[in-house]
Amino acid sequence: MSKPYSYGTLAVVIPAFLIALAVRAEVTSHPVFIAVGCLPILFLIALFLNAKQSQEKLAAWFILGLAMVPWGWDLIGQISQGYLQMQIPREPYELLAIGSLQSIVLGLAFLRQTSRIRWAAMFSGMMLTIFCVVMVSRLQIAGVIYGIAFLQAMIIVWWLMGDYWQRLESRFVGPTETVGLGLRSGIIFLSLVLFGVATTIGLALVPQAYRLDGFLPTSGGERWSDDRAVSGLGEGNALVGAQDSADSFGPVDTDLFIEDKQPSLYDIANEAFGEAKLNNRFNKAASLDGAKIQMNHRKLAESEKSGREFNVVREQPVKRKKKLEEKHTHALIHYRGDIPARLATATFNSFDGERWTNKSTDAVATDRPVSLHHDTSGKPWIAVDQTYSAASSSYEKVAVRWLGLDSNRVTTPDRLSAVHIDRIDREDFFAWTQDDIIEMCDRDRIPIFTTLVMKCSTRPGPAIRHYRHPSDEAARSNEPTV
Amino acid sequence: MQLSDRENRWLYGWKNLRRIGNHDFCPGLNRYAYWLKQPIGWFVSAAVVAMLLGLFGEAEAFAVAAVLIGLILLGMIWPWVAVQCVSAKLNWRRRRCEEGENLETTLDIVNRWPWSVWGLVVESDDAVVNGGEGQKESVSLASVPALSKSRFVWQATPQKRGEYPQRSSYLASGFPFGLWMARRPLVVEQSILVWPKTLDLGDLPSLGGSERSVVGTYIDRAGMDGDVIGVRPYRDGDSLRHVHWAQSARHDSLVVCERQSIARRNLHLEILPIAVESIGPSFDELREWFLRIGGSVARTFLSHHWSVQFKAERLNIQAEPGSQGLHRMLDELARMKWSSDVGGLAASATLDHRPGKAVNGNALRVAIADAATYRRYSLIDHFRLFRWIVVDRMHESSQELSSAKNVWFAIDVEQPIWSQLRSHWTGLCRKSLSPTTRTIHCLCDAE
Repeated sequence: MSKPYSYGTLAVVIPAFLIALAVRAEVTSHPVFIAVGCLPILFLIALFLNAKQSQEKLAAWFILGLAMVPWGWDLIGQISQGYLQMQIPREPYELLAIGSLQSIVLGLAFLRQTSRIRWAAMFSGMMLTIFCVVMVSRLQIAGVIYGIAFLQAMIIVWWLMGDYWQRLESRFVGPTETVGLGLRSGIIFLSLVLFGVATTIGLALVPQAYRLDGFLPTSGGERWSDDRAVSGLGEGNALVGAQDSADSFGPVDTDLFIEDKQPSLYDIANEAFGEAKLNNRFNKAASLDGAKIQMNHRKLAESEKSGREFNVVREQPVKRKKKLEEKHTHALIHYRGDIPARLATATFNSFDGERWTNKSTDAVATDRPVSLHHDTSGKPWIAVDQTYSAASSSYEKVAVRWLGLDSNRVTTPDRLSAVHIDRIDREDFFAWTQDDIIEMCDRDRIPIFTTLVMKCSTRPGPAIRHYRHPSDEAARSNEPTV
Repeated sequence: MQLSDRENRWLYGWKNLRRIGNHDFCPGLNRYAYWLKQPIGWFVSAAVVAMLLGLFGEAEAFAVAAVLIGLILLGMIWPWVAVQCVSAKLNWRRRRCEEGENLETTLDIVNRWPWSVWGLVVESDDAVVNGGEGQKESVSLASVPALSKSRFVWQATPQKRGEYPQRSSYLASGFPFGLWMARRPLVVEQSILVWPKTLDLGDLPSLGGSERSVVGTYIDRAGMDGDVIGVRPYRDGDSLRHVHWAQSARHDSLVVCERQSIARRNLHLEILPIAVESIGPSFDELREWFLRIGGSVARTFLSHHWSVQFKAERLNIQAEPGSQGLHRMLDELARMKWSSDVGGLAASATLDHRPGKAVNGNALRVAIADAATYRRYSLIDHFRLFRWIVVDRMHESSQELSSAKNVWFAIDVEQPIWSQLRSHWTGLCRKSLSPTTRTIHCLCDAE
């Protein structure tokens, strides 16, 4: 007769559950939230165990309900954030999937323990541990997780032996003997040695991981990465941005400012070590006060590449810090937005029959004003189009991040309406050139890693200007026609 | 409780969804996929997932994959080594037995390894190599000592009729993890024939109202019953009761009376194919019950010196009274294999019973069928003289079966079948007696 609460299955499942709990708590840094999130799981289990109806009929709904718990929490968080303006912590999608599996694993351990359910519980617990072990290599708790996982592997070995013997013992004929403790311990020891050798070989002889472009939508994909993603090709800014310390700087928005000798958009007075030393290369800068600044007296690594080459976790000081290598790229800019996109750095208005030229490209046109607006969240937007309205939603957002482009001209898409750089709330930073391009005034080039978010009007407008050939009489007037 | 149209539509949709979800769309590919259902398949899948994670995610996953592969290798190599020097022979003490009977089974094992072999499983037909009462799976052995010849003897309970072994038999081991079973062929010295379970129902129902209907009519062929038709010299084995003493004295040697013998009556018993899949027990199980009930009826008639013609699908046996005839019939029933072409058989059965194509004109004809087949066939002219035994799931609409004139009795498959058969048969025998005899029987029962 099958029975619920098989202690062997619980012994396999509980380490997996704890590992997943620790990983979720570590990554989201909200253990209370995770603990509260587990309450519905325990409630569902208690409800299921007390159900008077046949448990076999309820099993599928029970498992489905458990799998939905983390997603339900995320939905509540989303609704609270959207409508109630409450900041409830949310998890990235892969952790939500881990949470679902975690609930299922625990639920399976409380189903009536038939052979198939027992195996499903053990296998799900094992897979949950595998997924978590793969995720934690850069976290501080990696050592503890590895230890628990190794312990769980030993429990699984013991469980497998017990399960096989349990399958047979009900149909033994002849003298019934049990496997002695010595033999069992010997098998465990043999497994230990084998696992040790296998782990060494696995880590020593295998190649480095390859990219899988655009495969995982949450964290592993180049095309569909999510802001809450933890790691992968398209790392999410929301979680990768440094909170307490930083070992490098790169194309990621953070709340932290690192002092550096390169030109910057920001200026912070620092009196920690006497008089402020002025930089000889002066550029227009926005002064900040009270911002987070991290003292740094060593060279920081540069990471110009996006994606997983930005090999840094900037959350807590990790135990084993390694010196990071600089990673360079040939890219001029990073662009985020719909593709194909046309980004202009110059326009030409004169054609002599052989080549296009532009007259007075260096002169700043002062007749087209720019103005400062603030959106509902208080972020400053420099409007370059007089019809811009901060409250309107008929704009498409694109973002450009500077890397190797040595110019002070903003590479703008068509129908640009407003520009935003974090904490830049002065309209004199931008101006129109005579050839209808936005540039940043009084500087040679836009600082590296600067991120510009731009709003472009989605209303239809003149996209391409048509010019006539000089041989045409109408073209001799040099007046463009739309 | 009546469901509304909308609820019925939902229910219908849900059932269809479940049917689609459970449908096997590619049965031909099952042999390539079903190994994944085994423990080894689960672990191989996990190792593949870990390797993919290592290839395209984090390199640490290779260590996990290596551990899993190590576990798989240990779980395969150990049992493979264990069974290499083990040989076994399976034997039964009898050639024939009946379903549900105890059958003494012997397994002789030789272990040539200098160490004990643990956790062996006998993989053969579960129907005959099980562990006896309530144990439907094949037996297993805890351990076989090192360098030894061991004999294991146990009582198996055959579950299903047939000639065994029907599949290759192996001695297997998955110790210590049970991930994969290593196998060695098992030698089976002789086959065993399992008859369908039958009951001797005792009396026969009185047929046609005459007492001759029960015992048969006498014919003037030399026998031991009826009137004296002549005398003959004594032969060894003749009973002294039959000695004609007056004639013996006259001839000064023993003379015995020669009497009439009973003319054998014929029973034509036919199991009709099931045209529609029944609700309740599985289709095959219902057919097996047809065979057991038919076998019981035939056996009872045989024991009363009737000749029995047993017909079921392509099987057509003519059994003569006596133990030899009974064994022959049961052997054939044990070996019989049902056809999988149910619809085709139903159609051919209809053609077989065209009017005018009578079988064994004077025989008592009995048919065993489910309710749907009874309704369909009883209208055919050929089946007009048949007595019917209906075996099916009895619901309200089937109640009229019990009262139908040509139906002997109806058995509900959801109730205990053997007790129903016995009580219905006894009732049938009593019902067919004369009113006076019935009263005497009732009085005896009351006392």
